[in-house]
Amino acid sequence: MSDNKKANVIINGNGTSPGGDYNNVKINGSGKIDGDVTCVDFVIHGSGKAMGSVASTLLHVNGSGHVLGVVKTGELKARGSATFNEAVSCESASISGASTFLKNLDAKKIRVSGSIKVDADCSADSFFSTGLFQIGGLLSADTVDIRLGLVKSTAKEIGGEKITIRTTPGRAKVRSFFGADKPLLETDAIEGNEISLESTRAKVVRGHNVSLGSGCDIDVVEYTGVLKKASDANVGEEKKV
Amino acid sequence: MNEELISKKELLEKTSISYGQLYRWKRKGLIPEDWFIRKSTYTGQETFFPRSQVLSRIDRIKNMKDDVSLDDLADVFAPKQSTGKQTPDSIVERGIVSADVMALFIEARGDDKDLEFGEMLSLYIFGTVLSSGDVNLSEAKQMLDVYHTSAIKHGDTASEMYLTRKLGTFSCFALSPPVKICFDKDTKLVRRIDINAAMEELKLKIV
Repeated sequence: MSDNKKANVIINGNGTSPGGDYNNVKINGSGKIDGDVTCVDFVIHGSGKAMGSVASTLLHVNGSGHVLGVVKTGELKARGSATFNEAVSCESASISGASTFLKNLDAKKIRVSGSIKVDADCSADSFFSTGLFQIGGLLSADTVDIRLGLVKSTAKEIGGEKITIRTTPGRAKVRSFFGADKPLLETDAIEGNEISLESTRAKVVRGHNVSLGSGCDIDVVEYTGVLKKASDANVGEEKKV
Repeated sequence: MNEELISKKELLEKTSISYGQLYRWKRKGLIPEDWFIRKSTYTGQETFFPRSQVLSRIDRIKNMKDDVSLDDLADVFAPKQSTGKQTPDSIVERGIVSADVMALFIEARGDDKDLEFGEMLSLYIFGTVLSSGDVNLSEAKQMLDVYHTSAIKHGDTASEMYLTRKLGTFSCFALSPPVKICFDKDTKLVRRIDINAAMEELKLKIV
């Protein structure tokens, strides 16, 4: 092997590899990387664990993945279950399984079709979700586009430019089949320029143009432009500022 | 420090920016996380900011955002040194220091190689202090010594310099806020230098 060419790490079956600077890291089966790793592609099929930080251009988790350190990557794809103990920053994050972030998640684009739990802040240029989310801190993006899933999603606060929250009527049958709750978004505060909500329970909504659709239950709305309200939207107090 | 605060609502009104902009700037790091101060009020939780700091910061962002990209701006405001070298000539050309000060610097260093950011910063502070007329050349050099010593000891964290004079005798010290200081009554504060502010100014001149 020449000096300037980096090695691949491939774990088939069961194995552990030390951290380091690699070309590609691939875990098929069950594997552990015992330290900080820098690589191009980091792919887990099966079960993988990185004990340190990961810096890569791509990080795919198919199956189960657990990263204990900071993650900096280009494309993050988590299908299956993934847990990140430290802050994650990436270009695009696509979450289609169940992922847990114990610290901040930062990306240009976040797409959620499974379920995501972020204990701290979640920020992106665009945040698009058709799944479930639980965000312990602030969800902030230029465009926040949420199609509520089957049950309740929560965020401490939501802030951005354009915030749209919709229910998906097509799922009503599936919902009644599972006997699930109504879809609902619960949050303390929503702040944005253009806000359009459905099935949202919030203490405060502040924005320029605000449209409140059916199923909204808002304590206080403050707006500077136009307020539109569906007949079955429940609003405690309206303030035009 | 008991600073005056401004509520988020008042801030948006006063600066006529939107929620979207505020959140975007926060995400890009143009407004530091620790300026967002959460407080309970009778209407629930509200966010407040250190008034003078946030107003001047937003003012500068608004003035510059048409010429410079947000990411570059974030670099300007980040309290860290940027990379990139500059030749002595271009430093004078960009108005970072006068040609006279540059000549002094080259003489002291003994060559006219390109300057690193750290060197530029100390040179910039040196030049500003000197041209203010508050101190003379040997005092300015003394200040520079203190700055370098503190930079070695504390890294980038020492971010304020105090130049004082008591009965005509010059003295100078560096400190990292937040601290409270108290002088005896004969001591006159000649000048206070905010290193982070100087760093921002310098980065803007280089951009």
